[in-house]
Amino acid sequence: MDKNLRILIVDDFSTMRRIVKNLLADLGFTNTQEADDGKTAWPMLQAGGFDFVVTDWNMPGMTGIDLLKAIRGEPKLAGLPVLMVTAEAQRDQIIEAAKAGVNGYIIKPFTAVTLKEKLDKIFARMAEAA
Amino acid sequence: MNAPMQANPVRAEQLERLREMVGLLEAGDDTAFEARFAGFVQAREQGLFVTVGRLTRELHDAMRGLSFDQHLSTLADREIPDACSRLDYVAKVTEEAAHKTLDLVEQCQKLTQDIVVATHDISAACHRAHVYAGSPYSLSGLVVSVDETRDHIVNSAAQLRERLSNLAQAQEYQDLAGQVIKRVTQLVKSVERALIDLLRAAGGGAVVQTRPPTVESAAAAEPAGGILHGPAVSGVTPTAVSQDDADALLAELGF
Repeated sequence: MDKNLRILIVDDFSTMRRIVKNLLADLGFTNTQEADDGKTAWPMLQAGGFDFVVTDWNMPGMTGIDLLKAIRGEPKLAGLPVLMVTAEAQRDQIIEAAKAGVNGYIIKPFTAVTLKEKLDKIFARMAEAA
Repeated sequence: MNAPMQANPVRAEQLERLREMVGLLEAGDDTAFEARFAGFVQAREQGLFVTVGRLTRELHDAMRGLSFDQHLSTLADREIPDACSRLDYVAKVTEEAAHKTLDLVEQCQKLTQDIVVATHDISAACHRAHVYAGSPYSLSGLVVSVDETRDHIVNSAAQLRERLSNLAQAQEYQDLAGQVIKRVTQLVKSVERALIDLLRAAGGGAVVQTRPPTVESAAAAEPAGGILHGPAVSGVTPTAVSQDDADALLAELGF
């Protein structure tokens, strides 16, 4: 896996952005940037250059699910892998995210092991598809 | 001054009664004064009771009319206990995080001490090599010591790194607690609004019916896109699933 992957971390809590950034750095992914909600993330993604998105669901302005739908609806971004890391843990929400085309779903609180597992799975599927 | 007073029949009557009492006092007729005075006070008190009674009835009617009683009882029966459970959850996760952080700090302190001891071992090995300089074993002894100690230090550093990552991870409580506190703050605001509406209704002023929002509707009002549940709090969000359940569900859906 290319460790220089450019990753966008989207969460309204700066502590969680730092934690995810820290965990990703531990796994060797240091090329990360942050956005505090979907509204901030969207122009960054449109500007291009990102290879992966890690997003929260519940955020003011624009939620993670809306960001995911926007990504899938935009032809040049539609293939971008999106990992959702959220405290939202209702069955219908997971189904909604899956239907919207999420690549992985992590429920907070989570462990470093879970993050690694989900990333590995997403990368393995991407490699299969390629 | 007298004209507006006399224009008010109640005031005019009160003035007349007070004048009569002053007259009685001046004439020294204490018994008659006491009787008049008691009657005067009683009339005032009866007026007060009537007013309180009317206000109570109006308040009751207003509450029924605006369904305030129903909204307030929902807040009292469900929302407030939910908020208490959510705050208990905040207390629990912050306590756990604090203990976890302190445990990890203690382990890191022990590891730094190990590294200090290891460097002392190297100093001692150097010293021995110096003392036995020229002996065929001095240099190889030093190399063995340094190798062993290096492995020890590398191992300690790896353990330190792992614990520092766990320390960072332990801070996730802030996000979860923060989300819960925001929801409870919204509830407190909705209770405040409900009480203000109630006061307005009781005061007989212009009543604008604003349905007090529940935690769910308040949470939904902020982010776009449906009702959000936030962190799973036992007893409050019983339908929340675990990571394993989520994985199983996604697997069913072909993920």
